Amino acid sequence: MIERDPRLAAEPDLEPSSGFIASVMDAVRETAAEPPPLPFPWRRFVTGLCLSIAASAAVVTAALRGVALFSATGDALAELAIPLAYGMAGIVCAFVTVRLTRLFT
Amino acid sequence: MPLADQDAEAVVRVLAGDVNAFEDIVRRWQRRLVNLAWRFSRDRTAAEDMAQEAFITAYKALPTFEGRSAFSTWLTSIALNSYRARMRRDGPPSLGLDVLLRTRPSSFVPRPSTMAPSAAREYEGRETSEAVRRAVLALPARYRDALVLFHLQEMDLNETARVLGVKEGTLKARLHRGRELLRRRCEALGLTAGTARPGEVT
Repeated sequence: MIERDPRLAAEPDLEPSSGFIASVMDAVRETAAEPPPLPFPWRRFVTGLCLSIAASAAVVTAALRGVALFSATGDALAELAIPLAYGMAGIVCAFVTVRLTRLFT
Repeated sequence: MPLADQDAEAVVRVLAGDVNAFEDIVRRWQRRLVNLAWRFSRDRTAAEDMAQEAFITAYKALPTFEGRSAFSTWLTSIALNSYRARMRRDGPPSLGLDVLLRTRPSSFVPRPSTMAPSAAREYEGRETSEAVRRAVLALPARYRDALVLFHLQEMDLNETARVLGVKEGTLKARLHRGRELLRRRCEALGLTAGTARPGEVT
């Protein structure tokens, strides 16, 4: 059993001031009147995230394949054609992502 | 009607959209929240500000109240978190230089000359107690909170443990260690009259 320390405990309570309840209730009513916070746009967020990952993966794959092709053939056109195609695909994906996410607005 | 039922009824009404029902909660618990804030701030105006902030936080969090603990425990936990944040932001109240000087043997602060010796002793005792209570607020948070809730606010062990979210054994250890730390600090500050060794006060 722990006893209280009388030097710490023996302190009279404060009486809240007469206007305290009114003041709190004014603040509470003000809070209640505020519009609710906007919910986080999870659908837009998830769609955008998935498409961004797909686009990034496409660009990285293209870059890797371009490097591999360059080292195998040394053909300048072949070096550029595939990475450019994947780069374009990445840009198109990004554009589609933006358009799709706007559909959920 | 028991307090718990009154609280439950008020909570249901507030959640149903009756904001005015929250006034019942404020009326019932204002004293506890204001006094707990007073224990932390040692300032009346600040205490009412802190309690008001705690009530607003509780109002916003009301939909999360699941009734697993008593409403009073839940509300006190919310208030305690709010007061802790305030303490982290503002720091503990000062010990009071005049009090320190008065309690130091080497200090040069004359006792009020118009007071009778017994009144002067009582005055000094009050000042020393106040300094000890302020010294509690300068302890590490885990010991400070335990001492404030149990010794200053005079909540029982069980409810103090539930508000702090710890087991009773842990709380007892914190109370013991907290009082030991407090005793050492008070000795260092020349406030030995205000604190007994843990276990000495029975």
